[in-house]
Amino acid sequence: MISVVNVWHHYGIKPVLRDVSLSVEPGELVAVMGPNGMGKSTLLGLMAGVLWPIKGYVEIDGHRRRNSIEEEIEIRKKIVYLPDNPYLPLYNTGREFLLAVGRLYEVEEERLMEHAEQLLKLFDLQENADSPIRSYSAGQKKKIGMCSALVTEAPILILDEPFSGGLDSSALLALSQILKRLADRRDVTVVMAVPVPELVESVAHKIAIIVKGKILAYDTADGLRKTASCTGDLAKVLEALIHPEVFKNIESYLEGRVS
Amino acid sequence: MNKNWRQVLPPRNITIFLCVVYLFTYLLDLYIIYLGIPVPKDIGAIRMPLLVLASAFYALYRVLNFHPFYSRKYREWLCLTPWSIEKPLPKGPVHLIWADLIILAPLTALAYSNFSFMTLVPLIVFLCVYLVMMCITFVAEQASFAVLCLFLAPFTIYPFVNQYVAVLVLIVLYFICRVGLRQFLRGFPWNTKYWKADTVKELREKAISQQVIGWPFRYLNVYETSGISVFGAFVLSLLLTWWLHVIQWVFDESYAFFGLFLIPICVAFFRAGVYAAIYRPPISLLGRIFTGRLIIPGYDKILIAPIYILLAGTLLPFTLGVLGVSLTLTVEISFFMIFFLALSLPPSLREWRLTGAYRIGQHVQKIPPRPVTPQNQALVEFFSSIFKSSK
Repeated sequence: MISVVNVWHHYGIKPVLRDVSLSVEPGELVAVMGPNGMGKSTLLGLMAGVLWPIKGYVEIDGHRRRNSIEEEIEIRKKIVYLPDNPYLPLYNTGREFLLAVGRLYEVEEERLMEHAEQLLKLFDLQENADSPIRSYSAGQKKKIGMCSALVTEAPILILDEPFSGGLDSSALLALSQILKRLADRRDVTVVMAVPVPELVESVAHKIAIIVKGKILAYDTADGLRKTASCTGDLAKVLEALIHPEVFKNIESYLEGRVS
Repeated sequence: MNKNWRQVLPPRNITIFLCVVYLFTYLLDLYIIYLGIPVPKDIGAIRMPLLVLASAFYALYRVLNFHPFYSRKYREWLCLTPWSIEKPLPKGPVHLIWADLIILAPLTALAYSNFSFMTLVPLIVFLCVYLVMMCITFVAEQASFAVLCLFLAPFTIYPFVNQYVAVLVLIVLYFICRVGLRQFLRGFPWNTKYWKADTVKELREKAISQQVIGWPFRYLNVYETSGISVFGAFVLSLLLTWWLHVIQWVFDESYAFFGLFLIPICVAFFRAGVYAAIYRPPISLLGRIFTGRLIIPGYDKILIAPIYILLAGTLLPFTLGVLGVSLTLTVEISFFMIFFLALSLPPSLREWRLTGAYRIGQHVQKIPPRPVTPQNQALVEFFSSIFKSSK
């Protein structure tokens, strides 16, 4: 379980997160959504432990982040964080990278080899598995980054914009289904920042909407529809919640326009 | 003896190369005589660097080629064999044997023939390089041997410089290393904190050191450096102070006074740098000012040690000076305190990395290191072939 409790964060003068509280149950897949620059990545960074909240705290399975050496070690073993653009060893092969990350998370060697192979196959990287990462396309780099998070077999995944960065349709499908199935099996808890709503509804159990550093809404897709008093696809619901004046503005623009 | 000789024989290509270069210098002498140019009396000294180089190379070869510490493949292979401490190492002995004299005796004889004042220099260089390489192997598990050697090593030049005394001290050090080597070999299959027989841990360390892993995995892993104990800090500080004392004796005591100004500043900045280079404040300075959080205890605690170091570096010499303690002793006590504070004051690096109130971000992401290019591949292969057995 991930608990974010009354968290405030600043990089400079302006607060990026303001009194954010959020709770993610084990086995839930939560999508954090919102316009750019509203604090999605900051919230994920705080959960992942790369940032330190100015106020409030984050708890993972009852252990407060950076509270004590023992608790932090416990947390770090359970959680994997994949930022939008992780470091990739360009001169090593994809397979070498996956094995190195797996070893870091103490995945048993034989299972690690097998898991890496499965992931390379799943993301259509088998042909390039033994080529240096520098020869990969942008989409393939994104895929190998995703594989590195999955190969750890960590029970908590914090993913920053996993669906962006040039993933092809098969990879999008594979990734969304893998995350969904793992979460449905209660094997993993996933928190991911997603700027676009298209893929979210079919995957996420809950959606958190962040606007100007505050949680505007945190509910299931249907719950959000009720809150927004809006039916239709999630994009419309989000617009109604984030920019309630958008539809009115569109209508007034079209009404006033001479055809 | 014959088998041992073959085992410790240095690579043929390098031996021939050094012999040819050495003979060339003789031919040069003869040519100068032939031209009728007066030959300086100590012309033989120009060949001394060559003898020093040959001695250093042989010492490196003796350790790098035969010690399982320096070769993962050799270690892994040994783990698959029924080898035990009672049996000789399959590749050849790491410890010195009589057959080594077949190389060292001619080098010493050549040194004597060229420059009798420096007869033992090749032997000293050989032992120094050999012992340094052996001390490196002790960091795995036998740190006490490394510390003992480092404490005794300055006696090779202190309190007087004499090549015979130096050789005597080096022989004593060799026997300490011999015991350490036996301890090391007894630990087979060497599940040390640096590697394991199954090599997974070693592969993990290698991946980290070779930057296969970077942001964020590297900075969120749990395999952080373990901290140094207070006793360890005490011993290390004593060792550093002792070495500085010898260095001060070798050069000029008056330099020590400048060290009193320089060392605390350098140590304080170094300590702060180690803690803050990757782990940045959670909020900018402007942010601190405008939000009224001038002090963030969870982060600013890393500045306490550097402040103490600077205070020790200024107040202690002053106090000792007032008490009438000699300059040399003042400098040494101050250095000791500075090192001790730098190494022992909390938070330890491990504690800081796991519990500090810092921020890590993409500033830690480095460009992956370039591998060896085809242009210098040949050079690398040449150097690696040097240490391969000639057999």
